[in-house]
Amino acid sequence: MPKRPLAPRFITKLDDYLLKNRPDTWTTRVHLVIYYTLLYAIGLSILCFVIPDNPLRTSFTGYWITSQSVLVIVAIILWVVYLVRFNTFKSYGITYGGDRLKTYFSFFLAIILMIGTVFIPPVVETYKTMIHYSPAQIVEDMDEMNILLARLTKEEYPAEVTVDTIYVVGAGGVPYAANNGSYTWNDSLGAYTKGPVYMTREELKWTLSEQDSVVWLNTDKLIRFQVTGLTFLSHYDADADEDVKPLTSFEIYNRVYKSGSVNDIQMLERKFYEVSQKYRDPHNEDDYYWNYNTDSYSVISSRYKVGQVNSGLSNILERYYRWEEEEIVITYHVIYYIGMFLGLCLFVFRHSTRRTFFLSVLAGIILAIITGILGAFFEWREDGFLASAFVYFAFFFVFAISTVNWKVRSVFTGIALNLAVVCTPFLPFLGVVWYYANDDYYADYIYDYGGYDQSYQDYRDTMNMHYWLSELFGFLILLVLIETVYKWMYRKWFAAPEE
Amino acid sequence: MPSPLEEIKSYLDNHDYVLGIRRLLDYSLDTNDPILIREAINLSKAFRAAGMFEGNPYLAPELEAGCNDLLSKLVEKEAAKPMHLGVLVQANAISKRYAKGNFSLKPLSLDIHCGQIIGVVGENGNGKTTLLRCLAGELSMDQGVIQYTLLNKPDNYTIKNHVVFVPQRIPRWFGQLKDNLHFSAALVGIHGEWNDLLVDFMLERFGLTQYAHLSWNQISSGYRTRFEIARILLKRPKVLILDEPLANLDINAQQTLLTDLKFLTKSSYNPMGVILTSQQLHEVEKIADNVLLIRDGNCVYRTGDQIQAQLGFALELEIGDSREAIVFALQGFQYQLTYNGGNYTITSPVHPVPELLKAIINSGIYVRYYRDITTSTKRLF
Repeated sequence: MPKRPLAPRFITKLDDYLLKNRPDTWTTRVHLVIYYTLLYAIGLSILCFVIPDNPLRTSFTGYWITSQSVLVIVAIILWVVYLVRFNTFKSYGITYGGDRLKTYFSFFLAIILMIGTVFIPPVVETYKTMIHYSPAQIVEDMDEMNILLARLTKEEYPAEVTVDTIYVVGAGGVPYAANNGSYTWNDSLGAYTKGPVYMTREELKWTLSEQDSVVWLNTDKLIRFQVTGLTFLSHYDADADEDVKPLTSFEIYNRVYKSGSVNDIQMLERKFYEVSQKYRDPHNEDDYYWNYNTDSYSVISSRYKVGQVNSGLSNILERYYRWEEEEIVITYHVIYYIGMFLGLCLFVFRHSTRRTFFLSVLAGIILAIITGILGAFFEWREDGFLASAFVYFAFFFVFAISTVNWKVRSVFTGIALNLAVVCTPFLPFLGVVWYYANDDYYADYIYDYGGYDQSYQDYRDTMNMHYWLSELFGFLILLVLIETVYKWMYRKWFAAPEE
Repeated sequence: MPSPLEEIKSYLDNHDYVLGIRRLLDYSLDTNDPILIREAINLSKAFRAAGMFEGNPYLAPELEAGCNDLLSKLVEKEAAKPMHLGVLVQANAISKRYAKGNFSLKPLSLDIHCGQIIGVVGENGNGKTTLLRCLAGELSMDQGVIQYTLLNKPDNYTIKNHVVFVPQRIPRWFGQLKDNLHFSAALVGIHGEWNDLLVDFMLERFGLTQYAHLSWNQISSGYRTRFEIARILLKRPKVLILDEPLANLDINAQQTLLTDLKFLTKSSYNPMGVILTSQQLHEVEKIADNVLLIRDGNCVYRTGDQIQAQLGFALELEIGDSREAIVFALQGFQYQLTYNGGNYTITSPVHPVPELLKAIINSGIYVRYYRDITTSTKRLF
């Protein structure tokens, strides 16, 4: 057994044990891949901890992710080279029940682990940021700075309140002119107001996400309060944490503008600089926009270098909230699909002849091109492409299973078998996509109502659950077929004599 | 006929250490006793270390004692009798025509028995490899049936586990050679200490111990062949099909391999049948139980008896005198003399080879080389 670099005795012993007792596992080299990946992950984590990082600066994690991705690709290629060397299946060795499943699962897990190292730099960066800043502290300081700025500029920056009555209308909406009135001062309200405003539910959804304060009168009517922007310091991600919400302009207005005049300007300025110093991005000199605008908001922003503080806040919060649920779901899918697909490619590669494998890749590419051309020519919508995927799979599967018993090893059977295997885990998911693409409820809601309410949310939740289940189901189907039908088919096909 | 142990003792007494130790190893393997196998391996290593395989005539007392000790243990243990598994492969009228080109293998029937070596000879491009690949299930046949009698309704995968084909150009391996041997043994369910033991055995049996940690690029083509044979034997095939196994071997190695095959096919550890192709006619004929001559896809002859019956006796020789000297020496004999530029061939329908040879030598002709080729397929080339 050759001495491997940085391999402790137990790894050498394990390698030796697997070689002599579990050759199928040994050939996958998963034990070495996992060991070296973990070793690399530890080294990378230490490196990321050691390298100084100022959370107020722009994050360079993108460079890290890119370089790590390249390294992972190189590592996978090296692994594949090792995988070519020994092959239990192709050596006509004794195979045991569950061997195929174990092999595929090993590939899948090892690839996921390797891809996982790509996310070490951003995780460490977030962790280092968490040590210095907490979400509650950030929001508290942001509120304090906004209130201080509002108090400092109260005299020169007259905040105005507008009150609108909004009516929700159907998809057709109302003529633009209906919303085109001008605001006038209303003494009884102590605010500016104009005639009724009409909106579709879709427009309202966006409006609600931006407004300070609304009061619903019934399901189709509400009052909207808007105040001149007083959130000099703001970041959308700051309210990602449900427990701590930054003050809105309306709340700042109520606290500052409804109280008395400000006396000690210098003390307030000192306090503002004291708090803001914690958040200033030292490398951001970008107050260009504020310097070249003469409106009060810009002048104030420029004077107090609000851009620097906003930049620092933005950089911190970007590090903090990159692991929101939505982001994690996307990351999970990226890892899962890459792991599953590459694992499948390796599995197919290990059970196919080299020539047939590369011809399968070529056939897949050509088929994709032809499908694209057909789609363009016949103006397919998504259901056309989805239908073609099912037709292809059915063809590959039926062709492979009907020809695998032929007396010779046909390259066409091999290609069909390889492509059928690769298509398998995606079928349930594509089925769900197809279903929802043709679902009337979905289409009606989007195109007719364009709104957002609980029933639609429930519908979305159910749809997401169906997607999740279809992914899981697809994976399970793949595992079952690998150990049963595909195992039998590959055995038949590979061992058949050549023409 | 001496017993195997008496035969081993005789080899060692006559300083044929290489052969003696190899037979000792074989016999220890047949006992299936791991302790005796390990002792035989260690004894072989000690012989090698003492230079006994490189011509050292002096047998050290401790080595002699070791040999005697092991031999006495082997006598006590008594190796298992080799199993007679009968016919392993029955090929009935198999034929093959390639889609491209004009060549076709004509219908041919053949049985491979356990413990039997079949040699296939013929000029290049006449169908030897095609026949072998058909028998191994590597190549589809147009007609005919092959029955693997030990297998019950086998699929192709099982057949390829049962019948191993070693092509002339050995596929490249990767990693250390020893790892490849461990892997091959593990593939057929030889695990743990047995795996270690049998790999060490094969390394020592084929004189490969000192090359075990090398890679493919670090050994010669002859050693690659030896490694391949060791690797294949670890898989314990029932039928071994070798395409030109002697092609990359030197004269000594050819002889060693053929002798090894002769012994190993009849071992009780893994009795098997062997079919091989080669251009080394005389070497193959020495060990083969049956020889087939393939010409233009046809099996022209099988066994030497058939040749003798049809063509009579034949003597091949190289002399230091002229053609006239032979003609003078064989006056009164019924014969035919041909010369191919190197050797003379004398054929006679009535006079056996010893009679012809005696007449030539008695006439004072200096004979540099001679061979009785009465039953050899060489006559048909």
